[in-house]
Amino acid sequence: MTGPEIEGSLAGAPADDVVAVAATCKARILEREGIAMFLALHDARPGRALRITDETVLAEGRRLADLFDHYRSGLAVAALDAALRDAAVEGDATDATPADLDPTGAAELIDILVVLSDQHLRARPESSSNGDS
Amino acid sequence: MSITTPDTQRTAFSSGAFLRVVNWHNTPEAERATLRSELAWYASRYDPVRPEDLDRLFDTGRWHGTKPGFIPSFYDGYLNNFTVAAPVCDELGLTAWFFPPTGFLSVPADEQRAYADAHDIDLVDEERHQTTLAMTWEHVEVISRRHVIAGHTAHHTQARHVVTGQDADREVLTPVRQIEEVTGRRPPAFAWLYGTPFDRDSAAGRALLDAGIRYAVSNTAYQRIAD
Repeated sequence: MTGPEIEGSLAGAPADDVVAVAATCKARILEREGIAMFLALHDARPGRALRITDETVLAEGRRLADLFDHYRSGLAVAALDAALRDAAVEGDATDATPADLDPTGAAELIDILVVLSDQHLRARPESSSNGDS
Repeated sequence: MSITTPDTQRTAFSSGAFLRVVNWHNTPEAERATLRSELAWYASRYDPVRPEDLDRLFDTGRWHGTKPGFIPSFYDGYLNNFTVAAPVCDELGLTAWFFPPTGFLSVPADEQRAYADAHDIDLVDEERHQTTLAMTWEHVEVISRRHVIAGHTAHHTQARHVVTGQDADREVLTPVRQIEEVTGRRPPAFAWLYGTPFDRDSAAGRALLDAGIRYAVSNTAYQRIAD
């Protein structure tokens, strides 16, 4: 499929240059732009679990998981490159705790979700015929 | 089990347990047209999600709508969320979720800039010298007639900084009680600064349960924590 209807959707093709997409996402102005995110649903009640039975949602979930793998792999390669670069530079000692350095506690996962969601959820009204409907 | 690993996220996605969310903070007047066109784009493809829709999904495992669901979220209680975001959502028939840190709402106007700077509430340049920066409690009541008001602490606080009973009362129980008094509804959801996930064994997690919160909202998940 091609065309504006699948842009910004799970039906769209995954981005080839994941690192470039990640760089674009980093440049977004978080304080005034809408940041799209695919989030997980979890049932944290004791003894409970969420079991989706809706086939349409399950099919979307499988596609989402495949796309997640694609972006995870792409970012893992980039992270390895960055780690190799950092290893060649002596860093400064710091008193910062892990929570100070990553207050979200999920930096790696968030990076994947941001890129995935930018490509398959972020609004693209400029390319749509019904963006103002 | 940590829910913030790529493996757990993938498992949730592959089993259909996912949600589409779009998070905004400031929605200044200069961005009104952009915001409207983006929200119209979402509205043409997705149905808004109300708390009772999430409850039903967790209860039945089935999504009731004809289109997938999505949640437009507006964080930090900016006045521009009341003057711009809420009216645009109203116009489009969208249900949005607003997460105001309640302490910001109660700060006198002439102290709001300093308060924002001290509490990780980022301001946009064109509004830095505006007389008022935060929405009021009256605005919260108006928004709540068509939208969801969720908890976001009193003073824009991280979960790890809620340690004592006093902390829990100040950052969770009191804000939740204030929102319920003003809107007539207990906030269904709560998010910490930096979106850390629910931890049942922490003082912060216990406070959410004590406050009757149903959904803990993090950067990576919506967690159903209570009936």
